[in-house]
Amino acid sequence: MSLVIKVDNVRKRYGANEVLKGISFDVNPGQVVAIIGTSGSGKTTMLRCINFLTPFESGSITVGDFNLTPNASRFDVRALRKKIGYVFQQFNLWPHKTVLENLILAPMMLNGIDKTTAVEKAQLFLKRVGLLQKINEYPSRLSGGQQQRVAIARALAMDPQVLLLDEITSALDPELVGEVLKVVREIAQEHQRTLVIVTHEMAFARDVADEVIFMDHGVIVERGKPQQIFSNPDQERTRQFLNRILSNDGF
Amino acid sequence: MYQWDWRLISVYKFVFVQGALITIWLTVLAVILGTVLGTLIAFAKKSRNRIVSWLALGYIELFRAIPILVLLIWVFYVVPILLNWRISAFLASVLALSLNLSAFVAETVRAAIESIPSSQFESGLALGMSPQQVMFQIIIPQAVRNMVPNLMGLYISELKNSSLASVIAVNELLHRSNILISETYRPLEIYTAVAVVYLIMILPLVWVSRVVERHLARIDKPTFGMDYELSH
Repeated sequence: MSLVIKVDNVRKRYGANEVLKGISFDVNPGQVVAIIGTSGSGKTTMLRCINFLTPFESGSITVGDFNLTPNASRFDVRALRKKIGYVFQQFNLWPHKTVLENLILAPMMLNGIDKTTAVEKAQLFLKRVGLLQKINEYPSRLSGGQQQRVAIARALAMDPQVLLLDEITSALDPELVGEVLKVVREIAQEHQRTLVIVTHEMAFARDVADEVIFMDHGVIVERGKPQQIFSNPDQERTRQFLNRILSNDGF
Repeated sequence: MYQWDWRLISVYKFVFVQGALITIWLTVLAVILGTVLGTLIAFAKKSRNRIVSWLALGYIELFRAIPILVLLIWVFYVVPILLNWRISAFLASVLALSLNLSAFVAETVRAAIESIPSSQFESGLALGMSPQQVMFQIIIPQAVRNMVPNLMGLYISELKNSSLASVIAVNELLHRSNILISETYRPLEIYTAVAVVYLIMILPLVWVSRVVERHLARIDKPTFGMDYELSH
């Protein structure tokens, strides 16, 4: 089951610097949305606000039945986070735990499932990301791409209805990007989870996203179907950004 | 030309053995008490309650600043006056040594916890864990690995510091040896023997700490997301 996400007029500032200037958008259940934009455009901050990793000043976040404002209780925030899987740019696996332990800790502790079930589930998700054979390794024995795939499996093991992916290939060597994107592509094609993807991989965004949002200086400049955004954007700022990015990319 | 007389050492070896046993016992008690106390102080220092945090800071600075010898004498002579309780020299030594050690343990524990990147904390929170759950499941197990080498160093120093207890006549190695000197007038042989006995006690500890350190380094090289390529 996937859930609707509604972001309503979210504002966030760091001192005098307003990084989110009243952002609003919504994502339909099962939809895949890619957020693109330059570094410093506020896209990662936006994503972090959705599951309250970054506190914001005003506005509200709705995920399914949950509607949370900046002064939401810790209890509600935790309930929200359980529904949302978050994958970080730097993987953030726990180095003192094996791959399996990374996957079963949160489900056993928070969803109250027993170890046998948790392990079965972990095996299932590791198989999906193609890393079942690494189940008893420590993260430090894995390549960056493998670590990131484990991180995706760890997020999936909580059965989230929403998945937020924060520049998940930016810390990877170029030759490892493909294996991670392949996994995400498969998840996206199931349309069982609502996906919000912050990414610099334009080709990937064009392929998997149902819609693309372009952010710049803390505002949403433009939103539309990938074909439209990438080949015929309405806004001059979008055009300039894409020209700059795509000429480097050999798109 | 000085005439060394080593037979003396073998005649009185029971003095060194008994002294060493008291030294070890004193150190073990001070290490246990100091570690428990220091860990509590470290968490007090990290408390969100400003007053608790300030008190912990004051405690750490106070007991790091006072020389152990001064603290030892102070505890031994002042506690009986303040609390109307004649504290034994041994207990006063345990107390003074552990108060001093706890301040250093507190700083070691705090630094080890703070050395774990906040991204480790976030990845737990993002899954829906409470800050306490993240602390006990994710942060502390990693921090313990970081603090073990430093703690081992502190414990080894503590064994040497315990010789200060001789000042208030605790029957540990140095004090027993001083008495022996006053009876035999052979300070050079006896102090040499004392040095050797300390060496015998400390070398195994150094060896253990090295083994532990190597073991910890082997089971996980923390990656914290960095791209250490081992697979190709």
